[in-house]
Amino acid sequence: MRSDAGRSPAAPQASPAEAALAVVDVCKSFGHVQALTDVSLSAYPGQVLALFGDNGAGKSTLMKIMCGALQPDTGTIRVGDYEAPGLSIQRAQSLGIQAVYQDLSLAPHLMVLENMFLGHELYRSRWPGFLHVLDRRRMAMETVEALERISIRLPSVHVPVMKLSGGQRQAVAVARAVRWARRAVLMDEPTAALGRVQSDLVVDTIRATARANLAVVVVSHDIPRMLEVADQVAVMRHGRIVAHGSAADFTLARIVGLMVGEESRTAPRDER
Amino acid sequence: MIRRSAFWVALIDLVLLAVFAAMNPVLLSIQGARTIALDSVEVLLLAIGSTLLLGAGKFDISIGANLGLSSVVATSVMQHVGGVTTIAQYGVSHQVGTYHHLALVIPIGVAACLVSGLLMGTANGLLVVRLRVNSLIATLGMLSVAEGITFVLSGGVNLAAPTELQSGFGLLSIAGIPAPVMVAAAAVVLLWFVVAKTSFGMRTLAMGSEPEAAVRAGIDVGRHQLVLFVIAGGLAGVAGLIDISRFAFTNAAAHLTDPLAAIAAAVIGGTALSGGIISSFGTVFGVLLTTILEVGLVLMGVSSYYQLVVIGVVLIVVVSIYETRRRRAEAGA
Repeated sequence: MRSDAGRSPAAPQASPAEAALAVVDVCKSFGHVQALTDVSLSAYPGQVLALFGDNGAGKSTLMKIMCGALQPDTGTIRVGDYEAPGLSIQRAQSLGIQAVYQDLSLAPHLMVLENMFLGHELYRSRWPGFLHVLDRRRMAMETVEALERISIRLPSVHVPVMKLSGGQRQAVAVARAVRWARRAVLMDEPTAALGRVQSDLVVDTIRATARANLAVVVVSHDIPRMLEVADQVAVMRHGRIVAHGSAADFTLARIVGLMVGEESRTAPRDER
Repeated sequence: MIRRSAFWVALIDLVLLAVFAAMNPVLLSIQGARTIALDSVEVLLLAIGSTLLLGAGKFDISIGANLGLSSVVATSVMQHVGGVTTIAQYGVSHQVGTYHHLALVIPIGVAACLVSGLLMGTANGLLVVRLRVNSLIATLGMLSVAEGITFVLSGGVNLAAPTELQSGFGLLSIAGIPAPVMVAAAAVVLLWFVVAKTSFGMRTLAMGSEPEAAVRAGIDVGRHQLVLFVIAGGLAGVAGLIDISRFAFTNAAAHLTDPLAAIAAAVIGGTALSGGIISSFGTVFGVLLTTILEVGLVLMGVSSYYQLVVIGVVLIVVVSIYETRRRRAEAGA
C-alpha cells in the first residue's frame, strides 16, 4: 500500500509487464488554475486502473491528456517506444489508445455496425477503390465478433444506435474502443446515468477488456462498483495523486477519506 | 431501400394526381407526365444538393440564386464570345445579332455555367468551414451577393442564350424521355448510391447525426462539409444550364423561391432537418409533390402562387408529424 500524499508515486513495483501507457511528471494549468501538478501514473496490459477523485480533482484533465485531447504544459507521455511531451487524438489512436467518452461519441442515427467502423470502413473489393463502396456484410460479421469478444450480445447490429438502451450503447462504445485499441482503453464515467443492470453489463465489459490484455483506465464516481473490477487504484485531490497502489489495499471509506483530505480515516475491508 | 416516409409521400403524390386528373385528364397523358417530369428537373437537382447538406446538418439557401447567377454568367460569356447582345423593350427581352462560333460558344458557356456553380458552392463551403459561419447565415449572405452580381451582369434583362442549346439538349428527347429528365434521373441514382452504398454517404450521415462522433472517429469533417457545399453548388450550376437550355433565356428572378421548394421537398420526403437521415427517393417524391401541385393548380385555373401557400402548409404539417414521431421514438428508446 502506498499513500504518498502530495507526491505522485511511481508505478507499483510488482508490475507484471512494461506499462502500456504512462504519464511522467505531468503538469497542466488553465489560466491561474493548476489542474495537474507533477502527476505520474502508469497503466499496465491486462489490468484495470481505477482513477478516483472529487469533482475538480483533475481526473478528466488527466484522461484527456492520456488520449490526446489535451496537451500537458510540462511532463512526458510514454506509449511503448513513443515518448513525447504530448499526443494528438490521431497520434494516440495510431499508437493503439482508444477512449470512451462520457457522451459516448456515437452517431445515434447510424447502425451499430456503422458506428463500429466509422473512420475505419471496410470496402468491397470488386468495386473500384476510389468509390469506397462499403462491405456491410463483413463489417456486420466483424462487429458481432468484436461484441462477442467482450461477451456482449445485441439483438442485431443492423439497428440504429438510438434504438439501444443506455447500457447497450455504452457496450457498443466500449466494444468499438476495444476493437481498435492495441494498447489501452480509457473510459470516462462509464456507468454514469445507468441503472444497476446496465452498470453490471459495463463492469463485465471492463473485465473482458482487461482479459483481452489491454490496459484499462477508468474514471468513475461509482467507487464500490469500480473496486469490484480494479487491479490498481489511484486517488486524486487538487490535481495531485495522493494515493496509488493495489486495489486490494483500498476500501470505500479510505478512498472517500483520501478524496476529501481525511487521510487517517480507515474502514474495515468488508465495507467494499 | 425506400424509407417509409418516401412511401407515404409517393402515395400522397398519387392521390393528388388522381384528384387533379379527375378534373383534367390531360395530366394522365404522356404530355402531362412529360410536363410534370420536366418541370421537376431543376428543383430536383437543387433538392439533391439540399438533401446531402441536410443529411450532414447543413443548409444552403443560396442555391436558387446560384442557379440564376450560373445561367447569367454562362449566357453573358456566350453573348460576349458569340457577338450577341440582348435588349429589353416593354419588359420583353430581344436578342440582337446572331450567335457566331457556336462550336466554341456552347462548350465555353457550359463550362462557365458549371464553374460558376462550383465556385459559389466552394465560397459557401469555405465560409462555413474556415470562418465557422452558421450555414444558414453564410448562404443567406451569399444569396444576396449572388443576386446582386446577377443583376449587375444582366442589367435586369433576361439574356438570350443560343437556341441551339434548346434543340441540342433542352428540348431533346431520347426514346421519348427528355434529356434534362435523364440528367436528373442519373443524379438521383447517384445520390442513392452514394448515400446507401459508400463511406462518403455514411460519413455524411454521421456528421449530421453527431458531429463530435465524426471528429473523434478521425474524419476530416471540415473537408467533407466543403465537398458537400461544392456538390450542391455544382448541381445548381447544372440546373442553371438546364434552365437556359429549356427556355433559351435566363430568368434569374424566377428561381428565388426554389430553395424553399428544394429544402421543403427533401424534408417532406423524409430527410431530417436536423441531420443524420437521408431519404433519396423521398426527395424525388417530395419534388413531384410540389410540381403536381403547381401543374394541377394551373390546369384548374388557380394562380400558381397558391402553390407556395400549399407547399408551406404541407411542410409545416409534415415536419410536425415527423417531430412528434421522433419524440415518441426517443421516449420509447
